Amino acid sequence: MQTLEYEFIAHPRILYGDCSLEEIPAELAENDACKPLVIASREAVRRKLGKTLIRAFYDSGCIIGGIYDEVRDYAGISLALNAAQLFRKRGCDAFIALGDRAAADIARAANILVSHKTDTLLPFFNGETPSRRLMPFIFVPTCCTGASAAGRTLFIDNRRLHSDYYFPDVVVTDRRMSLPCSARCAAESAILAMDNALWSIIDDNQSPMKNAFAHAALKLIGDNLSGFLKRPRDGKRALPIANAGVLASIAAANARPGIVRVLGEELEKETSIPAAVFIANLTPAALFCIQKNESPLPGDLLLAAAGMDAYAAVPTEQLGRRGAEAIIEMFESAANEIPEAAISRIPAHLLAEACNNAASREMVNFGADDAMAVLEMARQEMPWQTHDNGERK
Amino acid sequence: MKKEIIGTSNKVLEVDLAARRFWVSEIPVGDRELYLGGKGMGLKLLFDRLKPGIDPLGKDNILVLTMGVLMGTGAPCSGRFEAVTKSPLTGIMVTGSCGGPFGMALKTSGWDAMVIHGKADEPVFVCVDSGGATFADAAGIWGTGTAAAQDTLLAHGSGAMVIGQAGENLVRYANIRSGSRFLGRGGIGTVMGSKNLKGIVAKGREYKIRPADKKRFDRANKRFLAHINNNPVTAGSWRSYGTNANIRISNAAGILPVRNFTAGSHGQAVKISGETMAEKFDTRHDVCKPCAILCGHRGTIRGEKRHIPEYETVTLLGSNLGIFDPEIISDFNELCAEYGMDTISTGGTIAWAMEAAEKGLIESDLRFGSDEGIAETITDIAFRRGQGAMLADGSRMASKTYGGEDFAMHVKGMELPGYDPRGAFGQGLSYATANRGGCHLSAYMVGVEAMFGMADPHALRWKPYMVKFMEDIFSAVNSLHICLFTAFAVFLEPPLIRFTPTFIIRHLNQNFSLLALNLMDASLWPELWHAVVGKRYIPYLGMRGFYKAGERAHVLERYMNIREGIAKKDDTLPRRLLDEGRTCDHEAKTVPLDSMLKTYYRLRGYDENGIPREKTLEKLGIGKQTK
Ligand code: SF4
Repeated sequence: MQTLEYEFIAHPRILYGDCSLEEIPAELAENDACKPLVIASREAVRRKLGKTLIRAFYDSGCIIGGIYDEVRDYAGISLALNAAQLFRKRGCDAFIALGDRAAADIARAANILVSHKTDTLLPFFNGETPSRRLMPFIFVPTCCTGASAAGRTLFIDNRRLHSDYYFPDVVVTDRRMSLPCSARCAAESAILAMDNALWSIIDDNQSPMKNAFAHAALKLIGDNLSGFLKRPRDGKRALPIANAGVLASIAAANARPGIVRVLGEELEKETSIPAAVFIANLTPAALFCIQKNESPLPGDLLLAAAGMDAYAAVPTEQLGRRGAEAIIEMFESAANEIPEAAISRIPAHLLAEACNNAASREMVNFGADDAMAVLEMARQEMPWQTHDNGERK
Repeated sequence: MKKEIIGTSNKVLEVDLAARRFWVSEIPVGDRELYLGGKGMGLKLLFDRLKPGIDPLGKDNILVLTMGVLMGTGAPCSGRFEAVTKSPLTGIMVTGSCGGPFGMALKTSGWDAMVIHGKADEPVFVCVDSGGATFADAAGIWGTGTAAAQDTLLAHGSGAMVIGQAGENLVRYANIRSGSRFLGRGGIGTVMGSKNLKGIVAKGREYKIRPADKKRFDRANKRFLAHINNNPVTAGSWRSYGTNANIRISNAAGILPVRNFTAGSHGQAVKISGETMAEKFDTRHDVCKPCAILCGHRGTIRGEKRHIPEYETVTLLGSNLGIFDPEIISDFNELCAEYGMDTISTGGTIAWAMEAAEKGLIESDLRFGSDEGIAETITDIAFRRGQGAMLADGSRMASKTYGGEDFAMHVKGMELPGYDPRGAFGQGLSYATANRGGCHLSAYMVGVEAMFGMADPHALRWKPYMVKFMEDIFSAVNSLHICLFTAFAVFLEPPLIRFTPTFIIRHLNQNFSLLALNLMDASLWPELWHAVVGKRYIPYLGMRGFYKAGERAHVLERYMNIREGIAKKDDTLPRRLLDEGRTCDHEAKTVPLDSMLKTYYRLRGYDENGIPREKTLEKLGIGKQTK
């Protein structure tokens, strides 16, 4: 019998549903905590989501120690230091992040500061990792983009720190907590989630658990994306996409970062254009580059993107290619809502810098040349964007 | 007898450093009318030659030097020249103005502009005279500071411009020295360094410049001089104390940057004021030539004759670092002058490093309020040593790598000068929309809002109109090209403004801004321009044409920046100014940028993403070839 060795960590417990907020006190109690500090984005507080959260604590035996509501779109150490100070002053014993990626990252950073009784993250920036479990941390994403932050990466002040301790203990996706978003924001969240799922399936670590998470994420997106893009303000439709984001980010936390994501993030740094815009535009090119290098794409892709029936109907040797086509179709439906990333208009020296920076990132398994090849390919028309009859899709 | 140039020569000296050759081209007559000279002409020359998307430190970048039409005519404050290139600090166009003697020397050698192409294999300097350019080996002066390099070059002519070690080492905000004045911002000196060009020296004094209509010119010039000598700023506080006369005004108005823009005033500000320095250092004038305002000063500091640091230097290397000792600030200023480094960007980047160290993002002993380690850091930056290498790329790049983007005080990569816009919202809008990045000279709204009290600093109504109007005027003045400080005299001295009480002007500005702005009489500037080039000046219409030329230059620069990837996402302010209140405010105030930006775009004829519409470009004649 063949034995399969793999490692998979899915630390967060996922609570999903219309009234899942009310489960938070029980989760806190299970983690021996009863007085959380809420780190909330300004937008969440402005939309009175803080009040909804407080109501969910009613008569539960837990009290909210304070709400720190200074978080905007940038996670910086200044805010983490302020939050940690408030945490200590109020005698809190857990963190709840209410908002998007920035709120989650500020909570993670403040958590390190209070758990390690320090006022600086410098040793962690220099490579140290947490030596012990951090304070209980619950993440309540308020928009589906934030759901992609449920993994093991702390992104603060443009630095990426990785540790299993950075996983939230609980992720709560509750319909009442989803902020109405625009079609563009909806598309960007779907793209980030799809990217996480796609590259964890392509990753060489073939853990079946990781693939199961990624498949579930792609299935949720496939079933709900078009409805969500049509009605992005509808919280009911946002919930499955947010959930897919959480699942995909856990899958991605168990895989190497994909070339498209890393390159997209580096291009965002150079140009201030959101990474999702690049991801949408670069994914077909990256998949084509993989095929061109004769490294077969996993047939699983088709199963995940198009379902069992489509998978069963395709000959084995075509599975990879058809899987890529199905995925690209999903990306394209989301990409219609976001502007094109006119790569040809970005100065060549900035593209080269982004490729070099991407290749020097931790844990990646590609070089600057590979990244440049993807960019070059993105400028050309790819053969599989053409149907057999020659018509452009 | 000297040969004469009537009006302008319209001759452009183009040099190729790689091939060590030169050729001569002409400024088309049409372009002269559309872009006037100075900044506008520099941008047009660059637009016609520069490929978008090139590396600013690569051989394809081009450096353009242009003179104004008034230079050499004897008009006060007209001895200024302009440099235009693609900035290595911001990645977009940068324009800079300098009052040093090089401009006059180049113009009186018969050239209205000089364009530098390519990259020399070895360090060189270029000698210019009326016959063209020669190229000389600069190995002997490569590695020297700006003062020594300038002295060497002056053996070959009457005006030189040079870079120091910072430019050679590609510090992204290296500047250029000419006399005791600097072409300060955006790394124009870095571009010279990247071309292995240590300096340029012009023989000068070969031609006499004569206005085409001498009689009309003399009449207008007399009025101009009278305005300057009557105005309490140009003939009073600035003449006595220089730009540092603004320190106490800024402190009282709450716009003085303190400790990396965390406060807008400080109890010790008086120690670095112009008044204190004049008394302490027994100051004398040290100015651009010719000048009637005389804002520059020198004095005896630590037993040496030194140039008194200007307002921007005093704020960025002083109050913004928590330092209020003018002697120490002068020490830093001297170092920056020697290495050839912009004091605003140096100060802004060090302030970022201080806060980053305080918050544990980088390891450093730099601390607010302490001068320890700052002189060493400036030297390290100039030579790109140790942590200096990281700071040499400016606060934007440093914060992208090490974090602290929320307190990296730059716009489009260029560090902010010494006015906190939370005390003057119009200034905030003009920082965000300034073409070259964090620049106070794009519209100088603090003058209107905080210094002369002509508009409520915290009101939003009409601010976009005022910003657009000031941007157009300043762009036209820089194209003319004359010192911007003459604006105090030109704007404030005509009787309509002079005899109207400030509260009425403020009321008009705030409630009937369009009317108020149209009542402004800036006719002196275009009158002078028309007299020099010998064109008929039609009152009012001539002034509107002048504004339009300013608008044209501004929109052309924007259009060139759009080609480099600039859009609405870049027309913003540091997060600190948008999100954080200050310790000096009774009630936390942040700049409500978005609400002003939308109206501004509409007025400018940009689309909602900040891109000039086709119609706008067409209306201004941008992109058309002229003969
Ligand atoms: S006012 Fe000052 S900056 Fe302007 S020309 Fe005179 S000395 Fe130079």
